[in-house]
Amino acid sequence: MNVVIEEKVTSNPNPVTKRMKKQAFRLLKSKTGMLGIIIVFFVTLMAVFAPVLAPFDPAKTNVVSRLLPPFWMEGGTTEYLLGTDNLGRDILSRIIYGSRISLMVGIAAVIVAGAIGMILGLIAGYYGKIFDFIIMRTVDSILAIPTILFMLIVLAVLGPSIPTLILVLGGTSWVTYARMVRSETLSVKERDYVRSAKAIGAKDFRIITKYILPNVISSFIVIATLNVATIIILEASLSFLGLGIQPPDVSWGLMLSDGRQYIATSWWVATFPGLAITITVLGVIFLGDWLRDELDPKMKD
Amino acid sequence: MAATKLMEVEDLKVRFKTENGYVSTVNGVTFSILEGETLAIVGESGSGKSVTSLALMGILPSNGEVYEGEMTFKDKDLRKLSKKEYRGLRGKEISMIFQEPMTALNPVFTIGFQLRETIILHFKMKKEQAHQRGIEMLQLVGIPDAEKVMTRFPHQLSGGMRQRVMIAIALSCNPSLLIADEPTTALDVTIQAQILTLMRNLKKNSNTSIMIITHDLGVVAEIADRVIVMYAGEVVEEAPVYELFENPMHPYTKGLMASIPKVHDVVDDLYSIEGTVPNPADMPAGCKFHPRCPLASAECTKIRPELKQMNEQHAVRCIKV
Repeated sequence: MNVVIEEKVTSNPNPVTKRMKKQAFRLLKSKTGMLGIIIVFFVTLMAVFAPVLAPFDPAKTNVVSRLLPPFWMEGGTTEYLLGTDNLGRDILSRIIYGSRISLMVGIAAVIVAGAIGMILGLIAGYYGKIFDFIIMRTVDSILAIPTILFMLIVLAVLGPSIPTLILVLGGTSWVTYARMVRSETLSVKERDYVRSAKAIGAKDFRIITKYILPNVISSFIVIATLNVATIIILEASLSFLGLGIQPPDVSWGLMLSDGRQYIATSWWVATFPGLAITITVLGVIFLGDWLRDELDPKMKD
Repeated sequence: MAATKLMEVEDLKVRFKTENGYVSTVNGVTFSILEGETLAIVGESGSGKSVTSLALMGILPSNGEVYEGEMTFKDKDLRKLSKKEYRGLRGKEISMIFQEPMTALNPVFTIGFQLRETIILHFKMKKEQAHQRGIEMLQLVGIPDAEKVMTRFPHQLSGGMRQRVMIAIALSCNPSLLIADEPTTALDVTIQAQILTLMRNLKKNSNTSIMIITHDLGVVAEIADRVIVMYAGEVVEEAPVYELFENPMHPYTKGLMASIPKVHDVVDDLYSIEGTVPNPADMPAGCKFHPRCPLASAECTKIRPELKQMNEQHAVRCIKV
C-alpha cells in the first residue's frame, strides 16, 4: 500500500517545532477551523476583559432612555451602540458581561458531563456484565425523565445558583456521553491492538487510558462541542423559566427571554443576544470539527 | 531431541458461554513445546487452534474459559497464576503476534511509543534506553531507517512493515515462547517468505521457541520442526515435519496434503475435503471426522478413537491405522 519510508530528508532539525509548524499550516488551510478559533478566541477575550470593554454597567437602569434602537436606526445614539432594553440597560454591555456566564456555564457543565460520561462509559463498555447493566439502566432511567422538568425540580429545591445550575446541567447531559463512549468502547476493545496490548501484559487501566480512550476521544470531542451549544441553549431556557441565572447576573439566555415580549416593537432586545449565542455556538462547532480532524492520525499525511 | 519441555499442555478443554448454554471448542488437547523448537498447529478455520493459543496467553474473550486440563510453562501452573503474575508473564516470557498486522497496532500512537511501552512495562528502563532498544529491535527485524520508523504512525507503514514491527514488539523482551497466530496469512507471498525467513533466523539466534498457528502447509514445511494437526478441537495427528509430509496417516491430514496444488501435475480438479468442520454445538458421535472421511465405516460412527502412538514421535487419532 503506502510505504513512506523513503521520504526525502527535511532540513529542519527539530521535530517538535516542525510538527507545530505543520499544525499551524493545517489550521490556516482549514478555513472553518480558523474561523472557529477566531470566534472562540474573541468570545473568551470578551468574557475575560468584560469590565474593560463594556461601556456601561450591565445592571444600570435608565428609564429615560429605555428601548432605544441601535445607533444606525432612527432615534438611536452612538452612546448605546446596540440600543437599550426595556429598563434602559445598554445591550452591548449586557452581551459583553453575559458572555462570562454563558461561556462559563456552558464549558463547566460540559466538563462535568463529559467527565462523568467518559468514565462511566469506559467502565460499562470495558468491564461489561454487572457494571454495564447498572450504568446503562441508570442512563435509561435518566433519559426517561423529562430533562427540563427534572432540572426545574432540582433547582426549585436547591435554589437557583450558578454552581447548582452547572451541576444540574452536567448531571443530566452525561448520559449522551456515556452511551456514545460505551458503544465505541465495545467496538474498540475487540480490535486486535487491544488484544495485543493484553498479550504484552498491559494492565486494564493502561489498556483503557492508552488504547481505548484515545481511540474514542475524537467522537467524544465532536459531541462535547455540540453539547456546549445545547447547554448554552438549555441555560437560556432555564433562565427564561426563572430558575436559571438570577438578576443582577446576566446571561444571553436571560436577555433573550427578557426581550421576547418586545420582539414585535423592539426587535434588537432579543436579536442581539440571540446572534451572540448563534455565533458562539457556530465557533465552538467549527473548532470541534477541526479538533476532530486534528486528533485523527490518519489525517496527518 | 533431548531438549527440555518449555510448555506442556495436558488435556486442555475450553468452552464458551452462548445463549444455548456452553459450547466446547477445544476438547482435550495435549501437546508440548520443547526449548528452541518450532511447533506448527495446523487446521481449518474453526478447529480450535486460535482458541488454544489465546487460552495459553490467558486472554480468551470474556465469555470463554478453560474448564479442564493443565497448562504448565517453565514448571508454573498457568491456571493457578494470579492475574498479576500472568500479566508479568505475558509479553516478557510469552509473546504473541496476530494475524492482522493492519489492526494489531494502536492507530493513535507512533511505532516508537508502542515499542517503548512494552519495553518499559517489563524492564524498568529509562525512556532513552527503551528508545535505543526499540531502534535495535527494528533493525533486528530488518527495517531500514529504523530511527525514522520510530516516529511513524501505523497507517504510514505497509502490511509487511507492520508485521515486522509486531514481531519487533513481541521479541523486545526476549520471550522464551513466541506464539504466532497466522502471522503471514494477511501478507503478499513475497512478504510471507521474508517474514518466515526472519522468524527462522531469529529463532536460530535467540533460541526462542515458536508456536505457529496456520492453515497453510507451505508455511509449515518452511518453518516447523514438529506439526500438530487439529480437527474440531482435538489433535488428530502429531509428527515431526518430514515424517508428516512423507507419511501422513490420518485421513484428514492426507486430505490436506492432497489439497495442495502441485505445479508439475496437470489436473482438472483440485482435491478437496468434502463438507465443513462440524459445529461445536452439534458434534457427530464417534470419530468427529467420520462424516467427511473417505474411509469411514459403521464402526467410526460409534467409537471415539484415542490418540495412538505409532512410533516415538508420530501419533494418530484414527481406528483405521
